[in-house]
Amino acid sequence: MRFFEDDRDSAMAELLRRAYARTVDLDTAARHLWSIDSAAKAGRRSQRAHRARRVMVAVMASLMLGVTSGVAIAASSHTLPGDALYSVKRGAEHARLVLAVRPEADARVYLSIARTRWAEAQRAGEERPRVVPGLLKDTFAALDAAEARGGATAELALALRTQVAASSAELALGSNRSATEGQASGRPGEDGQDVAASPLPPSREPADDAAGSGASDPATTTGTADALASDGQDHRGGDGAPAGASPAPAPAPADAAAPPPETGPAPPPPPEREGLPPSGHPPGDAGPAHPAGEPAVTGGPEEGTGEAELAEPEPALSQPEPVTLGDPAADQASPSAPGWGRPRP
Amino acid sequence: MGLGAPSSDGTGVGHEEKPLGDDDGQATGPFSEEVAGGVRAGDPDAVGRVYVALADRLLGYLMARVPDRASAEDLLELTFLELLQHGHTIRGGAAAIKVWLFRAAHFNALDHLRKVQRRAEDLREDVWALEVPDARRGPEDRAVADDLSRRVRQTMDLLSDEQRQVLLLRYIGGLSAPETGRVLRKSDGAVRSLQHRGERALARLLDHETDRAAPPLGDEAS
Repeated sequence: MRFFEDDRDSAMAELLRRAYARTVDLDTAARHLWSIDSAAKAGRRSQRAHRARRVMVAVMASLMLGVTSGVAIAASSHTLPGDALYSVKRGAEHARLVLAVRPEADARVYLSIARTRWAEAQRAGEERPRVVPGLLKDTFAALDAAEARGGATAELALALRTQVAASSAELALGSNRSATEGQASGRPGEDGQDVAASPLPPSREPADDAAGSGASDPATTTGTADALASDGQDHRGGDGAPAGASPAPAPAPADAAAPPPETGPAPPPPPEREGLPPSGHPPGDAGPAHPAGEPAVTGGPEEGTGEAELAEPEPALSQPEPVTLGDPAADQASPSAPGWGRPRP
Repeated sequence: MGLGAPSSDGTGVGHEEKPLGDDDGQATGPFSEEVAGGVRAGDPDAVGRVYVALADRLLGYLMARVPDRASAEDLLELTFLELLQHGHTIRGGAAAIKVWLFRAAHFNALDHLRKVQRRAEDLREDVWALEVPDARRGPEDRAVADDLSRRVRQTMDLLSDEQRQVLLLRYIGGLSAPETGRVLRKSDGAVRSLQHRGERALARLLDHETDRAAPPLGDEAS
């Protein structure tokens, strides 16, 4: 038997080739190539639609749960994180974001959200200091978004930012001071007790809260918590960008809790970044940075542990996010999508 | 006919003129690193180039796993659409992309087989022989209906799943042994062992069949 350098047997190769080797028809190849191209176009289009769709989902979800009556929305307007209707308040903000299609309107909504967060932070400084760092973080995030869209609103946002930065130093010092007072005197004061009682240093605990209030509102028990609380911004998105998102909240809360004059963390920019999720794994095979919650459209073999050196392919063209209105995947995956009027053989 | 410039023995892809089993699975991928970069960036043109380079081999592999041409072609399309969507997660160059594609094809084929759930006897049926030789296809497609080829396929079915998969990836897919290992999640040693055992079994069974098929000498005593 003759051998190739790599130990394949040439006689066997010939046999197997004759038995199995195929060529792709030109027709089929053309069809496939066209489908690839059209899927790419659909992908680009749908990225823009993604953000609106995601926020819409949050609104729709809360509608289905029956919590967005006008009365509820009105009643929620003065709530703080930890109140029962706070999620309704955030949901209503999302609705405004989704309706604001033009960038200027968008920027204005973000600015108003920033103002709201700032007002909440100031009020919470008295009543619920634990949520303050999270609110500050959200304030800066909303300011970033408002400034990113430019225009006149950006200037207003900048002005607010300066004001917040100046005042939030006091806020944080206030909460730290009550902590040290509580520790020094051993006096179980209201705020002092809250902070001193924790085993972690005060700057750590709010960090947990910041991550907590950032990622999911503690008062919200619905499954839409992630979507609702993500502020229309995907940097903490719970549905598909964990690799990008997880480093972001971790350093950020530490920044927020540490001397705040360092103007808060700047989370990654607007939701267009969401794009394609870093998922890619055969079902049951945990890819490098993939949430377990992603549905596999077809149940496949369980292949054991994931490996780091190679990102795994997903066997089915499943949708990028678990909850989606409409069906972006259908646009992408359908080879017979209209546009060319080509007859399908 | 296949893609690209038709080569003398009709093996489809333009630049691959030598018969399968050459070293094209080794160090240099069948497409450039530049194209690989485009794939990782999600560029459909780059994916298209990879298609041109590898579709024949992938189709052959898929058809060997899922012996129904239409389904195999659909799985081929699906695999490339997946590459378009998830190419940005692949780390590595052209070779890594090739391994990724075969792994995706491998799983797509498994999924398909599960869905279809034919009975064991049906799977043995030589659907290939029913294929109408098509003028558009290369000459080796017509050879598929060969008696010998049919027996090769039947004999391959007698091998274990793993042996068959290794042989298909190595010979039809053109992957190296390490690459095959990465697709199937097996060590180098396991791959070589499966390959050699499979080759020996195949050879033995084919010879055995050949002996039986030929009229035994000395049988016709006067």
